[in-house]
Amino acid sequence: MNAPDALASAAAGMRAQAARLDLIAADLANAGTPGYRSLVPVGARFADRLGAAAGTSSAQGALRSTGVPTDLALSGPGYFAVATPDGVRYTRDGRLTADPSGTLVDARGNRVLGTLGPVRFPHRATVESDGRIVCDGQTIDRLRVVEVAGAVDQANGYCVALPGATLTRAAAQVRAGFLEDSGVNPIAEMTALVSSQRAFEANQKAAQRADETLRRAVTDVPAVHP
Amino acid sequence: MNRALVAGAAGMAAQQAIIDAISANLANADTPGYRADRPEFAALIASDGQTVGTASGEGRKLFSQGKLETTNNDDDLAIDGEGLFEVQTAAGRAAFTRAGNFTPDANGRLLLAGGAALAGIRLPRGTTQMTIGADGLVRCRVVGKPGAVIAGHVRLCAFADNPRLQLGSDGLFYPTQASGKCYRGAPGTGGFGSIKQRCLERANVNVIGAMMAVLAAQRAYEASAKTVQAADELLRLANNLERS
Repeated sequence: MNAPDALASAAAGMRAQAARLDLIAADLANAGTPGYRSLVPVGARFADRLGAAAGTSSAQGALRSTGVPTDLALSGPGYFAVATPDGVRYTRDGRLTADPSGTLVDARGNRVLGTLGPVRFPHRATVESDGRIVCDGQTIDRLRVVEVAGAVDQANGYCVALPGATLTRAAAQVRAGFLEDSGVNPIAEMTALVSSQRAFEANQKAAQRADETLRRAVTDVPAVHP
Repeated sequence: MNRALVAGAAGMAAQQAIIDAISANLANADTPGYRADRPEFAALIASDGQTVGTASGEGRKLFSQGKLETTNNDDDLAIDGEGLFEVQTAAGRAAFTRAGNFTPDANGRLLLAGGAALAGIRLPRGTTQMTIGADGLVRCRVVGKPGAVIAGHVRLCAFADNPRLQLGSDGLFYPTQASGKCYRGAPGTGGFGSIKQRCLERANVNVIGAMMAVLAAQRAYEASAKTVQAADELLRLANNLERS
């Protein structure tokens, strides 16, 4: 490998490690966010990973009992569907509440969707494990819990189904009175943090060596062979 | 690297908000009728780690039952179940509370420490003993009168969305537009809890759980601080590429 090649690959290595650090930082910032799924680099080829394109991991977070009937956790793969001003988005964050009009909303106030549009949630309603909303013995709606096959992107804390992705009803169980802990594994993230920092450093050293080699080629070689 | 810096800062801010909410809960662990903040609602971070905000309806309160403690003081009341006491503040505003540590004043009203009076009850002059039933009916023994005198009826209130009541600086809850319609009813009916005299309801703060949550939040804060350091280190290395 000649010196300019070495410089270019060291630069690419530094870019890749910086992008990896971005993902680690986003994950660690969300170590306490219910229903959060950690980000994983996507793209089979090394070069694809440089752009920090990220998908979500499918690791299930631990379920934690809160005793609040509108706290919902999904046990198994799947997402709640939420109507945001930008369109339908998907999330596993089950910090839901009933707003004054009796509609079920997520922590940011966006409406949660059921089979018939936004879900009505009267005072004494409960959520069954199959997602049905039951009030006084009557099923009044069913939460839309979907699995997204195909590309999923994250934006603004929600998952977005990209064009071409297919949505199917998820088999996930809905657990009322529970929240899913963040899926971030702090030990793995901290280890990755250290390794990406060191890898960046190694690439920086390589770049410096390549630079040194080039400098010698430019200054020393002409001196020896005038 | 800049994204990592921003995400790290957002993570630290979020954990700080969680620790703030937990410390407010712990500080009030001995306040009768205090309703705990839900720290998991204190902060929202987008999964890109860039935006931080608070959950809508800031500082969501947890309206679960606190422990009832027998005090053997006739003026102490507690609600076992759903509902809030309606009180009138010294300024004449209607306010709501779960605190039941009342003391009678010279005019026969039952006052909280801040001077707010329990609605629907006025003890007659010369009252020697007051009994409040589980249904809220107040009976008094009065000097010079045979039998019990009915001195009022304590009613309970609930809102469509209790957690969206506004907590005033006096520790009382005030209705907001978001808290919705107010329902009033007799204790023990229509989903309302019953009244327990000579009891106080303690704060619904789980002290051990809160301590654990503080530890977890502290570590998460450190982890985010480490990502900031790492991003800083990467920038330093990048700046050192050019050695002179």
